[in-house]
Amino acid sequence: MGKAGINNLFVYNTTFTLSCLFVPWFIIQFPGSEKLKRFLKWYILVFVALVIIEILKKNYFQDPGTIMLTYPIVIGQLAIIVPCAWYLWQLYKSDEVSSLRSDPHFWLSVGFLAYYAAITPYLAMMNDLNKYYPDFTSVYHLVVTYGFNFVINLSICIAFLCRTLNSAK
Amino acid sequence: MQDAKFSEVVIIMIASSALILILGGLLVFALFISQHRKFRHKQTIAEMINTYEKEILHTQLEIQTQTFETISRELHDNVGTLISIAMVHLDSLPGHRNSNQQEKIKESHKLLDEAMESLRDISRSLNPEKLKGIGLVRSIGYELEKHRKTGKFNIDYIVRGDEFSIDPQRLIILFRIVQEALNNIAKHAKASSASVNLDFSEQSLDISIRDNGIGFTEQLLNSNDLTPGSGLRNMESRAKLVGAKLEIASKENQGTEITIHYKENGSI
Repeated sequence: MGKAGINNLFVYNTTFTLSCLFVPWFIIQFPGSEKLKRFLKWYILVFVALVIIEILKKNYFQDPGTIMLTYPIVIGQLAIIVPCAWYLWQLYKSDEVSSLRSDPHFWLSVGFLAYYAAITPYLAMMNDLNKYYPDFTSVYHLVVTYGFNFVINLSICIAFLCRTLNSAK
Repeated sequence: MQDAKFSEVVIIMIASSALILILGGLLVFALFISQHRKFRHKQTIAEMINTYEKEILHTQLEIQTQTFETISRELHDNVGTLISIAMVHLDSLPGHRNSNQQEKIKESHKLLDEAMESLRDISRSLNPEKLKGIGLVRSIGYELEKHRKTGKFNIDYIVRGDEFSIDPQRLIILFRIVQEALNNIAKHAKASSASVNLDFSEQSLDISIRDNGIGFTEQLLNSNDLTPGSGLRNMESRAKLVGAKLEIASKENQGTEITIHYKENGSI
C-alpha cells in the first residue's frame, strides 16, 4: 500500500479468497441447521467457479496488483455473515439456556459477523475507491481493516480460551 | 461534483457497514437479554417443581403418619386386648389339669406373651406419638432390638455426643429413614452384621448405617429400576425434606454404608 492507493491487491485477493473458502467450511462444523450446512457445501463449489469466471472476465493476470475480485469476495463474505447471523438467531430462538460467555461458537460468530460486516461494503466498492480516491482508500483501509482485525482476533482468542476451559472442566 | 460523489460513496459505504454492525449488535444484545430471561424462567420453574415435590412428599408423609398411628392404635386397642383376654381365659380354665395339659397351657401362655411383646414393638415403631415421646436414640434402639430378635444379623449400636431435642416432625422423618435402611438390610443385603452410629455434635447429627452384605453396583443405584432402588430414593427424598444430606456408598459384595448428615436448622 502506498500514497497512490493500494497496489498489492493480489495479496488481498488471495487471502480473502482463501478466507471465503475456509471460514464457511469452519462454520459448517458449528452445531445447527443441516439445510444451512448443505447450502454452504454447495456454496464452496459455486464460489470457486465464480472466482475463476471473475479472473477470466477481468483479465486479472494483466494487472493483479490493482484489480480486486469484488463480486466473488462480496458473495463469499455474505456467505459468512448470513450463517453467523443465522447461528445467533438460532441461539435466540432456542429454548435451551446456555452460557453464551463460555460458548466458543458464539464468540466466533460475533467476531466473524463484526469483521465481515465492517469490511464487506468497503471491499464491494474497492475497485472504484482505489481508482478515484486512492488517498482516502489507504486511510480507510488502515483504520477499518486493522481495527476490525483486532476485533476478530480477540473473538477467536476468547473462543479458543472457552474451548480450553470447557475441556478442562 | 467529484467531491459530492465522493461524500455520497463514503456515506453509503459507512452507512451500510454501520447498518450491518448495528443489526448484528442488536441481535447479540437481544440474545443476552433473552438468555437471561430464559435462565430466570427456568430457575422459577425449577423452584416451583421443587416446592411442589416437597408438598407432595410432605402430604405423603402426613398420610403415612396418620395411617401408622391408626394401625398402631388398632393393634394396641383391639389385638392387644384380645391377647390379654386370651391370657386371662387361659389362667382361669376350670377343673383339674394333668401335667400334660399344664405344660400346654404354659406353652400357650408363653406364646401369647411373645405375641404381646411383638405387638408392643410393632405398635411402638409405628406410633409417631411414642417416637416423639422417647426421642430418636431410644426409638432407633427399640427398632434395632426388633431386628436383633429376628436373629438374621448382629447389630452394633453406638451413640456419641449428647442427644439434642429434634423437631418432632423431623425426628419422625429421620427415624423412618433409619427404619427403611434397616428394612433394606433385612430384606436384600444378606448381611451377617450391621452397625448403626449416631454422632451428635452441636446442632448437627451424623447417622451412619453400615452392613457387610452383598451391596449393589453404582449402575443399580442410578438406574430407574424401582424394585430395589425405590427404598433408596425414598430415603433421599425424605432426607431432602428435612434439609439433610444422604450419601450412599456401596460396592458389590463389600456391603453398603448410608450416611445422613443432618443440621437442626435445615428446612422442612
